[in-house]
Amino acid sequence: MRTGRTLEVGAVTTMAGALVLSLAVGEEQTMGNLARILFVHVPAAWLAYLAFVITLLGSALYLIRKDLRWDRLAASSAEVGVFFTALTIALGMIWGKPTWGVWWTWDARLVLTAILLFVYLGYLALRRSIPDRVSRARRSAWLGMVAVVQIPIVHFSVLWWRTLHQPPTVLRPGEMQMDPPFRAALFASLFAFTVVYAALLRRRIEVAQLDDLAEEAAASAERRVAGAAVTAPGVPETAPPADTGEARHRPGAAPFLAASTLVAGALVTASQSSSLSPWGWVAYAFGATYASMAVYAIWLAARQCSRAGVAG
Amino acid sequence: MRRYRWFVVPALGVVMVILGFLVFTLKDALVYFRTPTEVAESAAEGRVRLGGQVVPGTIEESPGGVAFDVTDGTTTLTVAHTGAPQQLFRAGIGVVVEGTWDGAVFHSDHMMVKHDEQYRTEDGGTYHPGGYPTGDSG
Repeated sequence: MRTGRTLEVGAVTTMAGALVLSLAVGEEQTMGNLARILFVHVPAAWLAYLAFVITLLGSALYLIRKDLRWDRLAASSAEVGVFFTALTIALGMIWGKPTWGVWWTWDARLVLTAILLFVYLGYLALRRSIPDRVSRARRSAWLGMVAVVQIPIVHFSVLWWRTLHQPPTVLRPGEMQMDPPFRAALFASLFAFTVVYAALLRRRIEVAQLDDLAEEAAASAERRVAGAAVTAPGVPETAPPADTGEARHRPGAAPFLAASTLVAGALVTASQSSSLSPWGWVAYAFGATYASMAVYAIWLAARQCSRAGVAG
Repeated sequence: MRRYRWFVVPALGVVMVILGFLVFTLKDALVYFRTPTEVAESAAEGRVRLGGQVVPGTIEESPGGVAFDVTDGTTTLTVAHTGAPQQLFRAGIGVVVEGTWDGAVFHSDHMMVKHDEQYRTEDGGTYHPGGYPTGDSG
């Protein structure tokens, strides 16, 4: 618990520091203030990558060790990764409208990122569809290992194909084409977002542990009822547990919620006005980032509290 | 549960084949825009996207739009754009325009501004839109 608290305080502090730096640097030559949006868009994309690589590691370790803790790591990281992928797309749209002139276009990078989101939503859906914990863990581990091939494809799409999206500035061969003040702000943001990821992941793993405990309790209660039925048929000695259905593993509605809120927000703004000032766009992007992170964190904490109640 | 393995191997195979197909066969179809050289070499056809750098000193306001030259360093084409130019439109910037090529002028009705991977402070280094927009540069 102490480590978790430290992580969460650290996440808020580093985010505040990154925000100050992101707003303090000067304007970019071409984009002016709009360049600040990249200090949240790029870290969100980095964490989508990192989260799905952690899912790969958790999946592989589960298949080797057959320990459900690695499955919980893989599943939790995938959910947090879906959150960051949705955030990346939303922030990219908020940047794209004033810079390119369009919210969305069928460019290879954009389409592949959308596919990445849907494949990992499929991963979360697969987990919901398998009731047995062990076969759920095994099957989703295979998917978690196969799906990660998308990461290099998404990342290098801008080099392999001619796209509207610019090529990478940071994870690329050769010298970084970015002036030092922007680098400082970008790296501070990358660090801060990584701490946020760690804090969210930790929370999500705790929720997964409570889910597993509740599921185990429900399963053993079911066995007791079944055993009782064999020895004394027709005599319902113990009431069946009320929350058997409730104890089912429930991966996130939060990423869906966050993604749809952001997309809805983008669409509303699109219909209202496409002529915000550059600072208006920056405020929109940063506001969407902090709001969605807060919603996800609060939602995880709420789920943790309600689960802790169920598991006793 | 052993039979599940029989599913994994073909599934992996299918994924690899799809990936290979995407990377090698669809390479041209996944190209978002054509360069001035490619457009100039092609016969007049349907709607295409043309991408390049706006040549400084060629921007002229026209009634209901703007005209300018777009270059890839080898070939320069004249674009007649209908509609308001994008907010960030200026000399030297990358643009992608959508429309038709009649052999002499590219008639565009949709413009997008392309930002490259360089980020420069106002008093910082020089902005070099170098090598733009070959697309296969690293």
